Amino acid sequence: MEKILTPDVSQAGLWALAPGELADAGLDDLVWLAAHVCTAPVAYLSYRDAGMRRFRHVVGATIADMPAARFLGALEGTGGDAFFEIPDAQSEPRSDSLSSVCGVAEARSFASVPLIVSGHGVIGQLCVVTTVGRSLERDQRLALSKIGSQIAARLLARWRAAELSLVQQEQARKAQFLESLLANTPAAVISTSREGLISSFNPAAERMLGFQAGEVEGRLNVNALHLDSELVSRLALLAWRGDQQSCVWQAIAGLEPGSDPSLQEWQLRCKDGQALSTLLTVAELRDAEGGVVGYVGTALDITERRRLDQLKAEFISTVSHELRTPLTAISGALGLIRGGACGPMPGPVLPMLEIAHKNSLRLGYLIDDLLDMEQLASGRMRFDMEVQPLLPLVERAIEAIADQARESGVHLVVVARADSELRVRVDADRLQQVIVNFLSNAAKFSPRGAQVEISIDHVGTAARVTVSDHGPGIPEQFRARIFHKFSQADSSDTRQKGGTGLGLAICKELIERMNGLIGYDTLVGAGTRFHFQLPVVQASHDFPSIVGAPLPDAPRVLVVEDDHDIAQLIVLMLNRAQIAADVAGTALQAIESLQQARYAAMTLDLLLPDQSGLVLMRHIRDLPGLIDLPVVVVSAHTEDGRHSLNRELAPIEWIPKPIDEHRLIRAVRRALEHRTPN
Amino acid sequence: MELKKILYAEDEPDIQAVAKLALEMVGKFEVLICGNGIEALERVGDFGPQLILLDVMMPGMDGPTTLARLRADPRTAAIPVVFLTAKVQGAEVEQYKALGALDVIAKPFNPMMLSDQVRACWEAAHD
Repeated sequence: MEKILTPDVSQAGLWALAPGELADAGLDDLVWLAAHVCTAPVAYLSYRDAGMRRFRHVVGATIADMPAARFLGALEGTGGDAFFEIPDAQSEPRSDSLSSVCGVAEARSFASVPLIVSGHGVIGQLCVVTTVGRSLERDQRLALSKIGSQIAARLLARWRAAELSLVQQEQARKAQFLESLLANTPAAVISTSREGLISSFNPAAERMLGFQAGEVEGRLNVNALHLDSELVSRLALLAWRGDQQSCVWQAIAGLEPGSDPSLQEWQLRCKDGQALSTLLTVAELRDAEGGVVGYVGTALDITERRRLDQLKAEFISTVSHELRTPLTAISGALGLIRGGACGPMPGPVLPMLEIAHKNSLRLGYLIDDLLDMEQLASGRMRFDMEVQPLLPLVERAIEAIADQARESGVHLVVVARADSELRVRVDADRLQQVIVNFLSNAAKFSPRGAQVEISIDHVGTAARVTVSDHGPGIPEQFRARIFHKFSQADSSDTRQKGGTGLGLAICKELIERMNGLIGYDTLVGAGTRFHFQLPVVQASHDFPSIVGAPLPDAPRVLVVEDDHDIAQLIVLMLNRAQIAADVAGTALQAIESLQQARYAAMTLDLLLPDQSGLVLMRHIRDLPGLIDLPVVVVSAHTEDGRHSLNRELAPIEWIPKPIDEHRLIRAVRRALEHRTPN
Repeated sequence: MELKKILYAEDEPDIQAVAKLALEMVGKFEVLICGNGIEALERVGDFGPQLILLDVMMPGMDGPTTLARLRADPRTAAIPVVFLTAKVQGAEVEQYKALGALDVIAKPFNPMMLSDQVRACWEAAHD
C-alpha cells in the first residue's frame, strides 16, 4: 500500500516529536542526571535545525534558540561527533563569548557528547556548563557519554512509536475511506475467491440484487448470479469450460479489453429471480507476489439505459415505417408506369421516370440500412446462427447481384479454392447481405467490361471470402474511414454510385458479430480486394468442449444436437437434474454412440446436418435393443414431425425450442420412467 | 385450382390504388380492397377470396387481430393470409408466421413483381 503520509525521518523530524512540543519527563530526568554527575549547574540537549541552534530539556537555566553560527562558532566546527570540552573559557583566546553564546551567565567550562542514532548519525549534543574552570573527570565523561546514548535511544524509540502510530492512523483512515467509497458508490462491487465464492458484497450490490451481504459472503458462488442461458450463448466467446466448477468471472476477467461491447452487458439474477441488466467489468485480484487470489466485479444497473434504447429503437422503427408507407406508394406508382401498366409513355418522360424510380429505391435502401445500423448499435439485431456450407451462400449472393452486375457490364467469376463442403457458423441472410454488399461495391466501382472475382479460401482454421475488383482503388486519405458510417471516398460518390454510405460499416458489424474479421487491400489504379474471414466448423461435429458432469450412478442420456450452444445448454440442464449426458452432433455419431454405450433415453433435434431427425429415429427403431428407447424431440419444428411419428412410434415426448428447463426435465424424467419397467 | 380472387385490407388510399392496379393489371386477379380489418371481416363472406392480403398496422382493427378473427370463424379459417408490411425484421416475420400467416411480403413492394410473389405464396400453400 502506498504511503500517503510518511513520518519525517530527518534529524529535525526526530526532534520535532520530542522536547518542547511534547513534554517528556524521562528526558528531563536524564538531562538532570547528566548535570548531577558532572556537578554542573546547567545541562541541556541541543541540535541544529534550519540554520538555528535549538535548546531542549534545559536544566538550571533558560536558554532561547539562536542562529547556529553564533553557537560556539568554530569551536563546534569539529561537527560535534565526539566528546568536546572547553575546560576554562578564560584560557581560551576565542571563547570569551562562551557566556553569551551558551546562554549561561558566567559560564567558564563547557562539555558535550554527541547523540548518535543508528541510521541517522549525530542528531545533536548533550551539553553541560559550569561557572568554574575545570575538566571533567574520566568517570564523569564516561557517565555523560552513557547518558547521551540513553537519550539517543529514547529519542529513536519515541520516533518509532510515533511513526507506527502515524502509519496505523493512515491505514485506519484509508480503510475507512475505502469502506466509504464502497458503501457510497452507485456501482455494485462484488469480490470473490479464485473459485468464485463471494467474499464481499457492497451496499449497492445489496440494493441492486436484493441479497444481504451476510447471505452471500462465504456462501454463494458468483456463477449463481449469472443466467445459464446467457452463459451458454456466450460460451464460445468466453473460452469458459461452462460448468459450475469453474468460476465464470475468471473467463470474464480474461477477456481482451474492448473485445466485444456486448460482453460488457450481463444479466444478473436477483434474489427474487428477476434478471437485471448490468454493465459488468471483472478484474483479477492479486496478492503482493502477483498471484491471482480472486476477482472483483463492478456492475452498473443499466435498466434505465436499456429503456431509453428501447424508446429510441421504437422511435426509429416507427419513423422508418412512416417513411416506408409513402415510399411504397411512390415507388409502386413509378414501378407500374415504368412497367407499362399505365400504357406507353411519351419519350421525354422516360428518363425522368428512371430518375424518380432510382431515387425511390435509394431512399428504401437508406431506410433499410438505417434500421440495420440502429439494430446493430443497440445489440437488438437477431442472428440465427447455424452451421452451414459456405459455398451455397456465396452462390446465392451472386444470384442476387446478377442483375446489377449485368447493368454495370461487369463479369462475376467465382474462384473456389477451398473444399465445397467448407462449413461456417453464421446467419445465412446476414452473411449474404455482406457478400452482396461487397459484390455490389465491386460492380459499382469497376469499369464496364471488367471482371470481379470472388474467391473462397481455406486459410488455417478460417474460411476466407475475397471479392476483388479492377476499379480505381481506394485513395490513401480515405482508407482510415473506410468502415465508418456515411463514408464514401468522394462525397459525390454517394450520389454517383447510388450507395447509402452505410454498407461497409454494417458489413463490419455483421461480420464481427458472427465472430469473423473484415479487411481489405487496395492499390490505387489497380483495384481493391475486400475480404472477410470466419472460423471453419469441422464437419466431424466434435464437441471437445462439452463435457458433462461425470454422475456415475445417474441415468445416461444421449443429446443429439448439431448446435454447439444448445447442446451445451441441454447438458447443463440435465446435469443439474442429476442426469448424465453425452452429445452427438450428427445422426451418424448418434448411431455410433447408441451402439457403443447403453443410454436410458435420447434427446433429438429434428434438423441434423447429415440426416433428418425423423429418419434417424426410424432407423434407430430397427437397431437391436433400441426399439423402445425413449426419445424427447427438442426442436423448433416439433409440428413438422409430430403427426407422422406419434402414431407409429412410441414413446416420444416433444419439447419446443426455445427450451424451457422445467419442461425438458419433466419430459426426460417421464421418458426415463417409461424405460425403467423394461 | 388457380388463384383468382384476392382481398386486400390496407388503410392507405395511395397504396390501395397502386396495389389494386398492380394485382389487376399485372396479375389479372380480381381484387377487393378494404380499408381495415373490420371491413375485411364484413365483406370476406360475400366476396369469397381465395387469398387475403393484410396490412399489419391499420386503424380500427389491425392485421394480426383480423387474422385471429378469420381463423376463429370456420367459414374463413382455411383462407391463406399473407401480410404485406413495412415491418419486416426477421423476428417479426416469424411472429406473424406463428400467428398463422402464410408469408410476409415487404413494403415497399415491386408492383411488377407483386402478383408473382402472391402467386408463389399461394402455390407454396397448395403444394
